[in-house]
Amino acid sequence: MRESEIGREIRSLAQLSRGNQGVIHAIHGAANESKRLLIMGLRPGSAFTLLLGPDRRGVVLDSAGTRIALGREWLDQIQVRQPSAAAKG
Amino acid sequence: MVKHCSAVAGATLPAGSPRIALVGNPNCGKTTIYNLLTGTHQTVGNWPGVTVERRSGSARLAAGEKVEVIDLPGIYSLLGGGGEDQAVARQFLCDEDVELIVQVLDASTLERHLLLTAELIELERPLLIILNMVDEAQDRGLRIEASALSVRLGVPVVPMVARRGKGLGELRLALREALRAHVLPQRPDWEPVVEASLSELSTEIGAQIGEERSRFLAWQTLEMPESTPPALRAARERVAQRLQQGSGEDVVDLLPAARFSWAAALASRVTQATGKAGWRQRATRHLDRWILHDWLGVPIFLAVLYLVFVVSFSGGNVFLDFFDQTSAALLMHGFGHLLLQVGAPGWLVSALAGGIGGGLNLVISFIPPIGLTFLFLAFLEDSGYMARAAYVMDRLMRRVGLPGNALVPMVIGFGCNVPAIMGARIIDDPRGRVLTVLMQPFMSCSARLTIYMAFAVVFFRGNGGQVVFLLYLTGILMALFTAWLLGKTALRGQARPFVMELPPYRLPSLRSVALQAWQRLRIFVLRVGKVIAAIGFILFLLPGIGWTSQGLRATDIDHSLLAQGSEALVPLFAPMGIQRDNWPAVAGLVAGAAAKEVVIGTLNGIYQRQAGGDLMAQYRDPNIVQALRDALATIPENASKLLSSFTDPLGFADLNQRDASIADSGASSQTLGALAQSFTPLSALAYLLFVLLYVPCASTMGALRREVGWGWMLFSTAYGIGIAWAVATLVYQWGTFAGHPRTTWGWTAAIAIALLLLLLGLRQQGRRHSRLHLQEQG
Repeated sequence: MRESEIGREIRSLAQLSRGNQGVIHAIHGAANESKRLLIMGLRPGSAFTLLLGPDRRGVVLDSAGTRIALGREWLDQIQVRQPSAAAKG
Repeated sequence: MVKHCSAVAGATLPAGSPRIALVGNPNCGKTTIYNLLTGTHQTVGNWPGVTVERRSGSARLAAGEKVEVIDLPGIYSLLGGGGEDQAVARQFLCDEDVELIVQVLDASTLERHLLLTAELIELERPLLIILNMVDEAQDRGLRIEASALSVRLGVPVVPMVARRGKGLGELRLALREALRAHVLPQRPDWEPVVEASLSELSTEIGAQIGEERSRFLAWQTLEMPESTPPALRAARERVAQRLQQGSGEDVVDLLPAARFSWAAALASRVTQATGKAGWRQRATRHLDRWILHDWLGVPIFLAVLYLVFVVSFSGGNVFLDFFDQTSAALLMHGFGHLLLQVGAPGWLVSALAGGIGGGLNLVISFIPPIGLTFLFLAFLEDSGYMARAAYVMDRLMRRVGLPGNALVPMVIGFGCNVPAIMGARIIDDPRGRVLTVLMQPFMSCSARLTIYMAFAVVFFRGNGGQVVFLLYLTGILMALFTAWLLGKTALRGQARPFVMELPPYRLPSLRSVALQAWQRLRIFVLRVGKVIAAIGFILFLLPGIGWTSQGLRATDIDHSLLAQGSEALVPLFAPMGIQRDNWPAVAGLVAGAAAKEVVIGTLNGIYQRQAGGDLMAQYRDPNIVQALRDALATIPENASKLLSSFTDPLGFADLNQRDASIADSGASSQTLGALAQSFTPLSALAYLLFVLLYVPCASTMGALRREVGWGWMLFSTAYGIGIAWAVATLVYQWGTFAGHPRTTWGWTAAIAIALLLLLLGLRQQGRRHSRLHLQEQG
């Protein structure tokens, strides 16, 4: 996803629905926990598609071809931006 | 095979066996490649100072050319993350000398795997790349240009489908050439400002501490300021400041960004899209909708575990009698007969054939169910299901402060606590791992069932199944209570937020699964076998000797060391209903602390001796050939019962059939008669609760010490004995309340005070632990 295709609106991961695409904008919380996501290949700028959730467990997303499961605790800590309406259209 | 040399640092194959290290992200197929290369020529040990398995093996590349292959635990990064196993792999790669690092990449998710490649390149050591799972990449509609990747990285790249053994010949050839050529990778073209900073800091590190891996250390200190050695802090600050000014970005973000951009750009340059995603991707997507379903996920997980449990135990039972009877015929009766023939005295025959031979017989009879459990667990791990199971169970387990994957060791614990404790290594959070390990002794293993069976026959005929089910349930509740209690006190904290990669579903390679299971089984048999054989030897000596007025002499069993020691301990067990003359029950508990399998055997031995039985009869004239024939005949006989046992893997149905229960328990008629005289149904229940909850066996405690250290092992031993005694005493005392209300209230108050003191002690420990943790962080 190109930078020009990403909208400006920032949401939390919890506000997305299955099938939505997005780009991680920021990861809040303790630095060592953000580091865990970085090591798994998720950092601000990483594009993803939501495969499952959000539900009681969390979400499963696909980033760079890898499925990653994230527990519920992450849902409000990860801020994302979605493709702009123009890019969707 | 494609190769490209950017630097050559040698021209001949090193003398002796060169070492190569296999490295890669978890689930990249590294272990399958390791198994392909080394076959059965593997050794499994521990890395020094930690409990992580060290797997190395010998691989033959050509006639007369062998290499040592070290299979490192899967890692995502050299810069941190993961549990103890990943730390070991990082340390090895940074500090140890190996002739060649071989990185395994999953071709279907190339971009992510190249992130680790970027870090490995900065180690400036000879590197070879295996592009594994090219079939999965094709299924995703991707074609990776191995030659283009090789040119850009400057190292040989070998495409493979390791699961099917494709590309093995090319890999061997590439390894031989790489070991001769010492090919160093080509450094990525970092932004000039990044490259200048890395070079400057690297030079400074080289000058200051003469660090061999100065380039990697420069990267590490810039990205992870907390890891900077004191001598380098000033230099790091200076370079970081300049880099920040030059780039306008925070250094800690800038370097990962550079790595991610490089990986994305390189992956896109060497990847061609050839079409749409294939059936594997679609199958994974569809399966995940059900397996990770919000409501169905947990029942599916429980069904899978039940299936593993049932198939392992029901399937294992088909061969259990064969293993049991064959080893008894050879190691006990045959060996004992041989000793008698050469004129060995009776006590030596008893100790060697009955003690050591009998101990080995016990271990060998457990091989089929435990081997099958290992086989199925390896299958589930390689199939991609285990990661999903952890995610599915995470929400529920979190309520007692545990991560989701803690449930897997708990279920293994029904079979045997030793592999369950070893299985807790899948948990990367150290706190969660310790809690999980400490829960395992309460899971009722299969060895305890033989004791339940013997008592059920005598005391709970008609409702034996319910009593045994209650015991299993008590074990589970006590395990969860222990995790909750420690999680609120000594190991205060919360389970870390869940994050885990979910690999695509794969049909595992049978060879790889079988080899993994075999390695685990071998370790189990060797470790447990040694302990049980030694205990068997001692247990057969103790009933024959005792302190007399003339010192230590051969005596009858009622005056033996076993009787004297057990009688001294009987008063401790009086509150749970064990009478003074019931010292054999205490002897059984003492022996059972070493191995539950020997409890009924010990009771058999004691009651047989008390009845004046001829202990040598079984060795005098054994019909070994007939015994072996009978053993062989049990396989088809047990196989015919296989289907019916699927609904009752533990054999609870046998509890309603007296003869079947007696056979399953292994108790002699003398033992059953003596039990009936020595216990009441209530004291029998209290005794069984004690058996369930106290120390499971020496092997489990040994495994516990290896996994979490001496301190927790000693705590677990004392806590288990204390809890077992408290529960058994409360049950017996309240069951007989009408006869002695004051005593019952007295013991109940004493137990409540002891529990309170335990709680306060654990809270204190938790506070101290938190303070230390804060100091470390500060």
